[in-house]
Amino acid sequence: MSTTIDVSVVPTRQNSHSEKCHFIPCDINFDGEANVSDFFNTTISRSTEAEQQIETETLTAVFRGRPLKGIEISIPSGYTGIVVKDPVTRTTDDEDRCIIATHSFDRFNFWNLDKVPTSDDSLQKGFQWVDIASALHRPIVDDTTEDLSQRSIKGQ
Amino acid sequence: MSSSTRKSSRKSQEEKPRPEKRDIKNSDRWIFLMKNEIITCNEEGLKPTLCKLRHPRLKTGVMYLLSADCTSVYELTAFKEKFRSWFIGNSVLSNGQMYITTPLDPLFLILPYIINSGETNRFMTLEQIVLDEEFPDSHKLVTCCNPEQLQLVSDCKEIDDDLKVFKFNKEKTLSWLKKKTEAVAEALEMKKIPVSSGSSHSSIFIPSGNAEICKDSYMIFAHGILSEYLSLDLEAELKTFIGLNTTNETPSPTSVTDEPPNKKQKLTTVVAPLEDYTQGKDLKKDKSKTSKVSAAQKRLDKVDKTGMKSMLSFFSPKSTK
Amino acid sequence: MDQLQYEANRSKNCLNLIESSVSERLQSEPCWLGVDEAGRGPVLGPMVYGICFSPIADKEKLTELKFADSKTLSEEQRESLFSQINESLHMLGWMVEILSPTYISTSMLSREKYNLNALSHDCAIRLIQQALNRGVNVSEVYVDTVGDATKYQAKLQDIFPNISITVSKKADSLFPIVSAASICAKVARDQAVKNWKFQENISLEEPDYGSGYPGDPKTKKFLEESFDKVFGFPSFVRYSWSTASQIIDKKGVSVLWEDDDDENENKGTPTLTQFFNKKDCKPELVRNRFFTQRQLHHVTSL
Repeated sequence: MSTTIDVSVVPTRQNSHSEKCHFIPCDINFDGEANVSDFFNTTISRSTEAEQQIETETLTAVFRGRPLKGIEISIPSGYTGIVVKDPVTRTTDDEDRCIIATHSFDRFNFWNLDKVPTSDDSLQKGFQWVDIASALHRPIVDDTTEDLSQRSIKGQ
Repeated sequence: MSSSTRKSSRKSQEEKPRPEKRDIKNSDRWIFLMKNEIITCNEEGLKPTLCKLRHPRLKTGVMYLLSADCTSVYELTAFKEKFRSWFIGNSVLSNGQMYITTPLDPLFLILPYIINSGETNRFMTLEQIVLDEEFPDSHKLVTCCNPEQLQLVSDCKEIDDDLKVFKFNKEKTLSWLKKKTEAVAEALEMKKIPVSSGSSHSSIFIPSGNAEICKDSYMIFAHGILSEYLSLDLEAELKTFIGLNTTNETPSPTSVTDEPPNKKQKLTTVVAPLEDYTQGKDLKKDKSKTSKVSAAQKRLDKVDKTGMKSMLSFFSPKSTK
Repeated sequence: MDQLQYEANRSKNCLNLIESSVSERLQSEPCWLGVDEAGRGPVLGPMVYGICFSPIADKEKLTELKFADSKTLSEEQRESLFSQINESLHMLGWMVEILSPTYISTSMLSREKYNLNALSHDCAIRLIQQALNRGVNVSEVYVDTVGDATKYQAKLQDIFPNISITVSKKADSLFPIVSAASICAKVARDQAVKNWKFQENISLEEPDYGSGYPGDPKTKKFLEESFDKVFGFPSFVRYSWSTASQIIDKKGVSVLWEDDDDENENKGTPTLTQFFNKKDCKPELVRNRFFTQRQLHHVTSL
């Protein structure tokens, strides 16, 4: 089974402004339309000076009566966030399918439950992987003479 | 007139059996963090594809992404944290994962095949090398890798004009891997990522005077990360090649790489920081460094002990939040 | 009562203080101060804490104003009495703090336990302090009890050692100054509820939610009709009330939080038993801690 990804919509970026993404700190057992604008976006406000971070502004919001604290996070540079959808409901894993990118975003709101987001959060640490991967997978430039001389120094 | 604290609302939730998180397979949407070049890579009528290839360490199938023009392969890494979902515009997505596509050096995927075919002691074409019945998409790796790259891990012979054949070369491979390790160690250092074992949540202070120890710690950690792409054998050989081995047996991956350690392993973990600089000590002996280091070692002794103390208190009774 | 500032923030997680002017007499002469609340029990709308203060010398005059037993008064009667208070600002002052339903929900559902009694105590303390900040010469304080009266009194006495604190049940029937505070609080709550604008675009045209108390059938009906299976309720509703949470549990989509279960392990950190299992795993299956610490996983299928 192979899956192709149609990313043709992404460069045009027409949809990015209207589809704000929020990363919410709970498991919601539901997929589909929901009235985020009226019930969630209306609860968002910038925090008071007491809680304000130095670099980024902290946001507060409420979901089901729980206090959420959030910040706006940018996607690591060189990358774009995209929402991909399978237009057809699949019954088996075997078929070939084409999934389509419907929206793109270069930032999103990251929310914690009642805890101000910091760089110690798993997500922000997770994004470090991008740079490490870049170093790890950067093709090595072949220089066999350098190889030999290095090895003699180490005495291997 | 009844008011309640969270406790009673929790109680009412406990009365109903807690449902399992919805089977992610049923989710029809995913959030990807896509490397821009995948998006901009324009190949007439073609699109990037996801396919299953043999993971070099796990040996089982794992998903990878191939660019539209089939010349680049990308690794798919899922950020998966408990209790996460998405609001996207005016909709909810239960699958709270983020799929990050990062560039992958195709040599990592090709290497196990080259090593395998190397056992026959014959030179083979790349097409022959990556043949894998279980993962038919492996043939796509041929277009992802050029002969120059392949020669970093193999010897090459040219037959009949432009037919190139390859055979595994261990020395070259180890050199190549060592350079990779150094690249990762450098990146870790630049990003100031805490690397000493046990420093999962915050860094245990390593005195800045001990530049040698620092560098070793980064190399050890980098080797650990790189080993994610290597078979166990190659992992061990690389460790020896770089000079990270000591007379002490390396603690099993479970005690060094994961936290929190269980009660049995507490002792081992307590030893682990010792292990770090003990390794360094032996290393110094091997390379006959100056006695300046041993004074610094003593300093590190003290610092590490402090670290051990705090780790012990962190781990002792099972902490409840 | 001018509640414009409150109305701008009604759905937010915040407090709102509204105060009268403070005459000179109230700053120079020793005063007695009453504390009472309104809207503690309902599942809808804000809770309001009110204080009222007046020179001790005028205690007799106050009884003439007939503040006693404010619970028996109708809304009109309360409005009328409140107007009288505002016409007597030479000898009376008042302050109210409006706790939005969102503030109540998020305080009680936060990671740290913050129950309604503690919330109430802190509110009363803030108001008394605010009166002091405005220069009111507070000599005696009378509070309608919330929770254990003795403990509450000791707590307040500790914070305000130079004031004579009296905490008692039914304080609003015993002490006219508490009744006056009660009037202010109730008027504030009535107004806040009457002027409530739903920003959630709920389909009910002119929602009739009755008294807002959980037992009221109209209130129950409102809760059922305004319910959203994903989000729950409009911000008019207190989520920390079992009335609300029971409907959510029954009819809403399931939402699980990290702090729902006391036995929940830390995010991503394996439990001790999981750890023992890992020991039996093939070593190549155990990921390097760089990846486990960052919740990074292989993908075998989408």
